[in-house]
Amino acid sequence: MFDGVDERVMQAAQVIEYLHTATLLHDDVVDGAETRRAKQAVCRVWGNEASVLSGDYLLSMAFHRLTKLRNLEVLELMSETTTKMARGELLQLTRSFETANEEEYLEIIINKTACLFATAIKTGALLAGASGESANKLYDYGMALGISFQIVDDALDYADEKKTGKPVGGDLQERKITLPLSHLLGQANASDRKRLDSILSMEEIAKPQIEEVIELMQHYGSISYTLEFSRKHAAAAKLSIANFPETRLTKSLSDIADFVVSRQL
Amino acid sequence: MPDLVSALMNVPLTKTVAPTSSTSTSLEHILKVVSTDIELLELKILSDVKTDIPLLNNVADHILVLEEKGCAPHLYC
Repeated sequence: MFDGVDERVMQAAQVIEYLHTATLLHDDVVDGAETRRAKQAVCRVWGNEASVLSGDYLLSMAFHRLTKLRNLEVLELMSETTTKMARGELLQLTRSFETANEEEYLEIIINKTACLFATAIKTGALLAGASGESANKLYDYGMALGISFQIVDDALDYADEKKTGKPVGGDLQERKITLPLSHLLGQANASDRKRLDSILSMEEIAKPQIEEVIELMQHYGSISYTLEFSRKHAAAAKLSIANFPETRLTKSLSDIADFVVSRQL
Repeated sequence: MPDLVSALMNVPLTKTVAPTSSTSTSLEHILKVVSTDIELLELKILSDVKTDIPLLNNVADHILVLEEKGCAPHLYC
């Protein structure tokens, strides 16, 4: 469909990986995370300073490598994306449960996650000689895929620990606005809402309260609602590339969209 | 950004494109089509991040390399 993977595409892929890893190193400090990629988080092994500074190094390295591509469109796209990612994290940090709604949640995940998916695939397409129209369709695919991925990730936070390898209810403990909780708060009756407000105002949310919230989510169908929301964005991702010629690569893109909504559930 | 958010909020709830594969398809199987490129990318990353600062090398080895999975964990965050 486009030209193949050459040295420039490979360099761009390295840049994306450096950017992504830099954000993980920073996020783990912000979140006080214990684990990352099934290992102890870097901030737990070497401390917050090492995690932040290593993230800074990878971020700087990413932009240094990017300048070597001599492609202003790609440079602009990546610069805009890193700004959006920082914006997403700031929005998540500053928005409270009282005002949380689906629109705000979507804005957060578009900024903090989905735009990197979209930029990664558009960059690869542009460097491989895709037309502007095709690159934009792939950007739309990446955006919808990223949204779908993050929504499932947020649902998995309330799933069985054995399936995810991560402690259940981490987002709840950090008071993060995610779709399952936002749906629950919107659907709960007065009595349940009062109980939820009481849990959310606790200094520390312990395991029994997490289990209580998960039970309420099951009762109000919040996880099912969340997964349906994810599925519609996975379908939108596939629709974005529906007019592309059918090849092994486009089938792989379609399969990834299916995988994202089915993983570990 | 609010315009984009509004547009995305209005994505139809109906599934417009049916799944084309079994949901049990593994990620390894899906990525097989680009596995050679991914292996090359992993090698490039590992050599590129080596510095004269041992702490940075340790951090890079720790977060970029997954035991038995190679580095760059792709769809794993």
